[in-house]
Amino acid sequence: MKLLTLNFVQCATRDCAGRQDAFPLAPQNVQLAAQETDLDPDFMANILAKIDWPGLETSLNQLGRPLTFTKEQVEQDQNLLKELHSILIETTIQEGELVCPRCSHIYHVKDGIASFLLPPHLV
Amino acid sequence: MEKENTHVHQVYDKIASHFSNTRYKPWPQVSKYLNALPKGSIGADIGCGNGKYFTCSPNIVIGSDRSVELIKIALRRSVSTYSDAFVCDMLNMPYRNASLDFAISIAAIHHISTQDRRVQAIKNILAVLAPHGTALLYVWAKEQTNKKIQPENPDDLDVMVPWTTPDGTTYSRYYHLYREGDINIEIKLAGGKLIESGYERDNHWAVITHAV
Repeated sequence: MKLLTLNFVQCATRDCAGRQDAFPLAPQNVQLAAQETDLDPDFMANILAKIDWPGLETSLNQLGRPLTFTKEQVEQDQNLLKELHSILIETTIQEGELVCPRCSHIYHVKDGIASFLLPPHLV
Repeated sequence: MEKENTHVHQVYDKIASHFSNTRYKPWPQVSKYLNALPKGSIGADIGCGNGKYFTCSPNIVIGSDRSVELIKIALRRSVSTYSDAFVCDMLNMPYRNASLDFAISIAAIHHISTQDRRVQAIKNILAVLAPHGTALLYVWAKEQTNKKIQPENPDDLDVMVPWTTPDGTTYSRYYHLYREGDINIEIKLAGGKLIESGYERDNHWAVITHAV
C-alpha cells in the first residue's frame, strides 16, 4: 500500500465510520519498500490540493520520517515536489499493522496488501 | 448474506485468474466518464476486480475489492503508477469521508442480496465523495436477453449465474437484476441525486452526486 493511500483511509468499523478522529491510521511494526515510479507533475498538483496535510504530518512522524517542508514550499519548488512524490507514491507499506487512533482496531498489511475486512461484531 | 459469502466472495477468489483474463477491455461509457474528469483527479474504484480501469484515464484510482485474489492482480497492475488497491467490503469502506473527486462501481452493487444493503452501499459511495464529486454506477439489467442469466420464474429478480473455469469446474454467482428505473429508486433512498443515466452492454448505468 502506497503512503498516498494511507492518507485516504480511516477506520471502517461501525462506530468509527465517517468520524474525523478515526484518521489517520497509525502504522506499527511496518516494513517499507521503494517502488520506482515516473513523476507526473499534473497528478502531484492535484494531490497537493487533496491530501490531508495534518494527517500526512502525523503519519510521517509515526513512521519516523518527519516532513521537512510545508505545502507552500512544495508548490514553489520542483525538487520538493519530487521528494513528496518519492514519499507518497514510491514508498509502500509491505508488512505491518495500521491502528485506529480512536478505537485501536488493528488492520493488517501482508505482502503489500492491506485488508480492511472486519469481524461481524464491528460492522 | 450467507448467499453472498458462498456465491460471491468465495467464488471470485476461486475464479480470480480466469475471470481476470476475460476482463481486460474497458467499457466505452466508463472510459468516457473517467476521461472527462479533470486530469489528475483522485477517486475510488469500488469492486475494482483486476484493476482494469486503473490505467485507462489520466487519473489516480484507489481500487478496492472483497476478493483478495483479485486485489493481488490489481496490485500488479498498479506497480509504477499512482494507483493503488486494497481489500474491503463495500458495506464497510475505509475511504476517508468526503475526500475523493470521483468513484466508480462497475458491476458490483448487484452482488448484494437485499435492497437495504444495496442502498447502504450507495450511501457509502456518496459519503466518500467530496462536495463536488460524482460517481458512476453500473448494475446488471433485467432486460438483457442472455438466456443463461434469466431466472426460471420470469418475474424473479434474483439469479444464480454459472461460471465455468478451464478445468471444467462450474461455480454459481449470485446477482440481483435491475429493471429500468430500479437503480434510480435506490439512489433516491440513499440520498443521492441522479445526473445522467443510460443502458450499455446489458447494464443500467447512472452518474450520481450529493443531493443538496
